[in-house]
Amino acid sequence: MRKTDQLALIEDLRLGNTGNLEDVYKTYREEFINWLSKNYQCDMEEARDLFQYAILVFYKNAMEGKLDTLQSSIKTYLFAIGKNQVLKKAHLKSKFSYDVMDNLMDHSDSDKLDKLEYEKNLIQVHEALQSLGDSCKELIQLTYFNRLSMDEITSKMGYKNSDTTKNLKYKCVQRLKKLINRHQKVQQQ
Amino acid sequence: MKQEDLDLIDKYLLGHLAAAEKVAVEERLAEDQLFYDHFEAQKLIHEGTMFNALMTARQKIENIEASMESASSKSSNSIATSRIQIKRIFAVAACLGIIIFGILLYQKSLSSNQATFTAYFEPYKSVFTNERTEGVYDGELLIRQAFEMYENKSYAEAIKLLKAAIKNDNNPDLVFYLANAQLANGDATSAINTFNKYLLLSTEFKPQAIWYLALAHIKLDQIEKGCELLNKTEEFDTTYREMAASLSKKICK
Repeated sequence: MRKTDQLALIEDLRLGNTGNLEDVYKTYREEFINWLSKNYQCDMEEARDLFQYAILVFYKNAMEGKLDTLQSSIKTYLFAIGKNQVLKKAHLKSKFSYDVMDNLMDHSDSDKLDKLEYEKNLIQVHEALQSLGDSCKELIQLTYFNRLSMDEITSKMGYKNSDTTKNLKYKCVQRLKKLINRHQKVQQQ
Repeated sequence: MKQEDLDLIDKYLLGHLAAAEKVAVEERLAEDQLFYDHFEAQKLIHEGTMFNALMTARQKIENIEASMESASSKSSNSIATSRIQIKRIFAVAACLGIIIFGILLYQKSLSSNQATFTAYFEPYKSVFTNERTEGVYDGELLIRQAFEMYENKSYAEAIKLLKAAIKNDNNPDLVFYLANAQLANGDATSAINTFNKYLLLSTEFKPQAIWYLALAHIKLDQIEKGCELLNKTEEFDTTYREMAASLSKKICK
């Protein structure tokens, strides 16, 4: 893939078009699994788990703007994640974690609540987002995960102007907070 | 929280503030408790949104994986079929023999895996025995009835009630018990889907869910996958470790 196509793909992902992720997955899956299992004595199942993990890291980092200056190809990037995880696993003498989400969400900050409490809170937000209306959910995701500007969201969602989008975002966040509180109360009952 | 404060916190968390503005926010966080509380709540929304997006993406790639596996299995079946057709005149009798022998072997292995499953499977105990106090689910008649059915081993009824309860209350514990009820009711395929869904929602019963997933795969004669999950069960320091090790010795290479 040419560098310009690669940057266009990352930009497209950032704009919320996740169909590209499927293309990346299908393009490199087989080669990745064969390469990892041949060169690093990894069984096929584990190599597949690692590929899924690499794809999610790629996606997360693309959203965080960490790939805006990516010098290598997407393929090299994915393969490097796989290789590093295998080496890390060998160093720790342990199997790769079954739960990729454990590895993707960073629990290491000392000021965060303890890990279990933190995971419980994330799940409450996740559940509250499922109860939120589709447009609010999309608006929140485009703002906080895809990190789009108010202008970009206005254009993507067809709102009147960025002030309208900003007001809607405020209302959606308030609604989400109410839902999170409701979920917390139900859990505490 | 005022809209201006929300916008300010969002800009801070997204890294959109200049150095001086960042310092001003940090000073306010140290002095203003209410602002600090809003900040923490907003930070959780940012991280929870990322968690939600990654969960969705993960589900999506698992679906792609499943469709790719199914396509690959169809394609290999089709190749096998055409080979049989080419040689059919010379090999009908041999093929029939092989097929019958294969079916017999398969049935034998299925019944042996079924026996292994029966020997090791015991549904996770109900929340109304000694795991939890009753107050947890008070006011939730549906859930109470579901667990009564579960405890009475009326799993088909428990499945219906748990599904209805999950519609009102997406509590991961209910999903875990639904998967158990499905497995106890003989529907290992649905149980696998439900246990996987549970693992996306919660890690509280993670070792247990992986153990039951292993048993479900063994029941379906998916020994390789079952053994892989047994190895994973052994990684956790739980009561399932010994059972997983013993079962693994019996059925895994």
